Amino acid sequence: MLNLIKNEWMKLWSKKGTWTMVILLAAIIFGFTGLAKLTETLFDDTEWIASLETQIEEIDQQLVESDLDEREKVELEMEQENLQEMLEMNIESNQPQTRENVITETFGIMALVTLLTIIVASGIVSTEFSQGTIKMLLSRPVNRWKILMSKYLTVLLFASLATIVTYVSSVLGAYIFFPSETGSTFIFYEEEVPVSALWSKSLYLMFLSLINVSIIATLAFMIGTIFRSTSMAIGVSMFLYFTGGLIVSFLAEYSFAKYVLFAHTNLTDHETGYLSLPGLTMPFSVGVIIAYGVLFLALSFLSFTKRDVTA
Amino acid sequence: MDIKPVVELRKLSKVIGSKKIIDNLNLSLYPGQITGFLGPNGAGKTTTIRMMVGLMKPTSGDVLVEGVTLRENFEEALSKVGVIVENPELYPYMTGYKNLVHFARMHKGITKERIAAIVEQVGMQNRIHEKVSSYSLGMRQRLGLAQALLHQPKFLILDEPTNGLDPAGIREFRLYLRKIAEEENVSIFVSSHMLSEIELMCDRIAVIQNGKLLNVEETARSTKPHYYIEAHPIQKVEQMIRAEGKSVESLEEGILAQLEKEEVPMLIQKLVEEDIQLYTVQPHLKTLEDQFLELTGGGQIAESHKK
Repeated sequence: MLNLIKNEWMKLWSKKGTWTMVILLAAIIFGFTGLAKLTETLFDDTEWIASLETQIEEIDQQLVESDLDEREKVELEMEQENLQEMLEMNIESNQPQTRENVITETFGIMALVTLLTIIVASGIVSTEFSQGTIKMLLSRPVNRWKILMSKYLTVLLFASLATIVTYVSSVLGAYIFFPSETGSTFIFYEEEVPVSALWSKSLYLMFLSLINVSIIATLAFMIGTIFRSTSMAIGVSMFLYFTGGLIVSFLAEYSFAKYVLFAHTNLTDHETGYLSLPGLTMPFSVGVIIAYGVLFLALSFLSFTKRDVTA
Repeated sequence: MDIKPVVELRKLSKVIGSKKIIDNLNLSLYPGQITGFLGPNGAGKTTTIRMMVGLMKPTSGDVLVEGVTLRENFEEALSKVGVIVENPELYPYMTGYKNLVHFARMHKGITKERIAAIVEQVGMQNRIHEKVSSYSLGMRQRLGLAQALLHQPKFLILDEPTNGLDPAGIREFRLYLRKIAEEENVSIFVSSHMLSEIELMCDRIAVIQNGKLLNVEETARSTKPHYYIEAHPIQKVEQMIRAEGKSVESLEEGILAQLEKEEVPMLIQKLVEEDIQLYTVQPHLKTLEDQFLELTGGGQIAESHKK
């Protein structure tokens, strides 16, 4: 089995595309952290806030000078309200980001890892068919289920590697561009987290995201294996990945909605508190994910080991 | 024959939909022998070969390699088989060497030295570290052969092996196959529709049509000798030979008589005594093409099994 995984790993990294994807992933994440810092310094909003405050005061004065008719009064009041909202938003967004915030929120960019893993998982079986190499691969003294297993494990290995790359580039960016929190706690989704829990908290979030990535990858892997078409597997799984949340919110009023896979594909929701359906618990979500995962794999293995190769 | 066959097909059948693609095929292949597998397009050659290497599962019947069935012990049975199914489809984005390493890892106990040796045997040592996508078809064929021979199989299956080889390459390939058949006692099974190719390469020929095995016979070299005779008046000659109980076939200008070599001088003497004008007497080798067309009756493509 180890030899088979080595083979798949070698094939994966012999493709230029894989290197491009991973290097791009690191660059984008590192770049984004830098960009966030840049906008923070470029658009220093303190003056803008001051000017908003004076504008609001001016309107106050105008309202007191009461030679205005009713209509003008209403208009001014509305304008003042708008300004007030802008002011509040600006003060909030102007809180300087800290290293701790950036690191714990890394899981938010795991969508990129999901996309890359979908691409790898979709193609790992079906390109063997489209290139005809499947004939060379299966006419070996190795049972088919072992070959499929090695391919699946390679996908998981790739997902883990991409997650590590994401985390490391994000941590690097955070250290280079952002100052450390001065207090003993930092804010994570309206919750105070002690700075000492930074690594355990952020790694746990990454681990949960990796599970999300893995189940979507298993779906893509299954479609690629059963239909032997890379583009179809990429298309369908990306579509479901992006619209899954929407579908769940449409179905939210039905009781079966909680058994839909996509109600659970953001395990980090349990940490951030923004659940897709009310009342979900972590063990239940994990249970649903495992059930779907087993189903997807069973279908993949059945299809791969039973069907004739006519490519 | 006392020699145990390396590979046996026993009552092999394949049904797809309602159509019998392969019908009750029995065939034994022996060590050191090259067996050709002939048949018109769509006769079931590729299906048979795919069942022999585990790409397709037979509906009924078995494939045995040294007594081990593919159905029961796939890994053990296939460990003695080397395969090239149609064109050798290798990974174009890897070097030739990495391709070999890849396939070597799927067998037991293949050393780096073995890989190096096989690379040298197929004459690829100068280009082996280049990407396969830069190879010509002939080079891919060589690499394909290398991967099939990596694990020193006892049985080699080749599907249309000379596709894309130039005449010199084909000749080299043929001699090479002969060599491994004779020296390493490998049993070789070659499917092709290039009759002349098969004729030169094989000891035995199995002909398949519409999924049924028509005939297994030794190649032309060992069939009954025929002689071509041109003379005047030819009718008289024909009568004379028939009178001796030999079969005669008339052609445009002469006749084709089935004679043993020893009978030829006697016949000539007789013809001269009868004052017949004799122009030509020459041995006539019935070509495989003749045999093939005779067997398959010109061979129409079998009805497709796809709807």
